Amino acid sequence: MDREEFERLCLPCYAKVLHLCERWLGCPSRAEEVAQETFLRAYRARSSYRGQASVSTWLYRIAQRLCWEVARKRAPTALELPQFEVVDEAAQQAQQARLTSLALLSRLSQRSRSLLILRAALELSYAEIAEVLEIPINQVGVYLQRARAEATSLARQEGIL
Amino acid sequence: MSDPNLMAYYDGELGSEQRLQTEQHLQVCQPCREQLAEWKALDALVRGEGPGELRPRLRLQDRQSGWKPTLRAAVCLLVLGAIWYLRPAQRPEAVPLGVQSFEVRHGACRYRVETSGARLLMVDLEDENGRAQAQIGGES
Repeated sequence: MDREEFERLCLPCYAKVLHLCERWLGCPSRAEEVAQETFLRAYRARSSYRGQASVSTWLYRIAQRLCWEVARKRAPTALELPQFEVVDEAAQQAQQARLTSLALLSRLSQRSRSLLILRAALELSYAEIAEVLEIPINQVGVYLQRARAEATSLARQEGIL
Repeated sequence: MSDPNLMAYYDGELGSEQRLQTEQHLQVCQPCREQLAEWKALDALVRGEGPGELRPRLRLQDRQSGWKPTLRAAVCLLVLGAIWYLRPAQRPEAVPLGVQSFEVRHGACRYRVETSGARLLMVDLEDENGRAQAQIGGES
């Protein structure tokens, strides 16, 4: 994969990779750093891409690993919530929903968080989720069910579901 | 039906035959329908879409077209015009004249001041000999 091909195939995925990082990390600035690092690593490793997985799945896998690395290196801290300028009531509600979502995700186990983001936010299929998380495809449903049970229980405790 | 099948249905992972079976099951199974609704709400929460009130508010009526809105506006204008035309006539309140005249002395000078309410009518300055030195307002 030369530079031109890399740009043509990979750059259209940037928004979704950033979305994954932002959902996972909860902090827009750090998410942007991780998303950029994802593309840097992908570019360096472009010769190893054999086309077994789709380009987007390959990028998600790199991004997901980087998110795990960030979580491993950093001691758990309070969620760094993004700051928004509140324009009107609708924007305020949207902000509240967004913050609620990030707060909920931040309290889930790492695997559950990944599964729910990949499925609900990025709408990946079980096969794609299996590739990103490097787990057997027949386990995706089982893990996803656990993740949903964990999130439902937490959301109920917090009175947001 | 076991939950994994229901979730696979929800996630669009079932083949057509199994999907059909699940849909038939859902028609008679309230708990499974509730489970689906809960997953849907949870996914919306994960996406940051929040609860139902965040959905855009629906317009209750389609925007009217044609001459009806124009007629309605014209009638409103006529009614407002009639209210304005038939309003009780406002008479100007009688303002008491209240002209006051007083003298102020300062050293050798004497000031004669006339006021009406808060309005200054005249200041007449005379020297010690009673000669007019200056006058502001009024007639000499």
